[in-house]
Amino acid sequence: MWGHLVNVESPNNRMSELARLRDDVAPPADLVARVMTRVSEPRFPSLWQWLNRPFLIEIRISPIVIIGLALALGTAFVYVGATIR
Amino acid sequence: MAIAEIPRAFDPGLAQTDSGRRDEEEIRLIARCVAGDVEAFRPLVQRYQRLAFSVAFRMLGSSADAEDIAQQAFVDAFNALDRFRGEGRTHAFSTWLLRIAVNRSKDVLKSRRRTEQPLNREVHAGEAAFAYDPPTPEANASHGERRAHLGAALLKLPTKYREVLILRDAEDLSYEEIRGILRLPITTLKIRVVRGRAMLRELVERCGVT
Repeated sequence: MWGHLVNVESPNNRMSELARLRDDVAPPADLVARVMTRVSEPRFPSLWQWLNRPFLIEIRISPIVIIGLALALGTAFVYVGATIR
Repeated sequence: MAIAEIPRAFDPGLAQTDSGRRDEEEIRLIARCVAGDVEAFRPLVQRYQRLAFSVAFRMLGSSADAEDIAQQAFVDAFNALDRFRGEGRTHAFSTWLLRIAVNRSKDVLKSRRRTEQPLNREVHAGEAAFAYDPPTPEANASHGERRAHLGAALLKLPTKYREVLILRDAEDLSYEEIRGILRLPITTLKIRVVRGRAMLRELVERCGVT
């Protein structure tokens, strides 16, 4: 059905004039400078980026507090378990 | 510092080596950008500014719009560099950049359609942009006129045919690259190229240019 596509790139089919149009276009001289200025500007994160941003939480805790917390947690489990029964 | 745009080589072996080296260099530059070195982006902009601007210009027919699109495409690409995955593909960065530029150009065309801007304005803008100084006025006047008509006719094509003709015939990209940019099967692209060329030839002939 698409057999004619085999010859799609023969020299007669290609529009050589279109390739010459490429030479007529030149980007503005200051394009690079403008892009570099924009990418160098400080960026404000979007809400989604801000929500996804990881952050560090530092907890300073002494061993005695850890033992106290563990005991409290254990007691709470035992109490809850006994209450449920 | 300035890196000249690398011309496409005619020797396929040489082209592959050049292309591989260029891709590796681009991956290194992108890694530096992601690490916070903004200046590493400059060679990429220098290398692809003509391509991005040219594609946007041919899509829109206005050099002011093309400038905005090219600029925005680079900024968008820079902001999303941490999500860029080359995955060993050739021309991965240029394909990605052109996808952004083509999609942004289509957005502009859609918004133009919504505001129902007359087509004539686009055509005139396109013609004006083809003006250049011919070395031999008489011989080249008709040549320049033909190019102007061709550029104007290109702008009259439906977007789906225009984009493939710009990428294939004007920018000489491979079907593999175009597939990466437009995310369409190669068969569809080839069909569009054939139909687009036929439509463009008809439009050019209708304008009286042979």
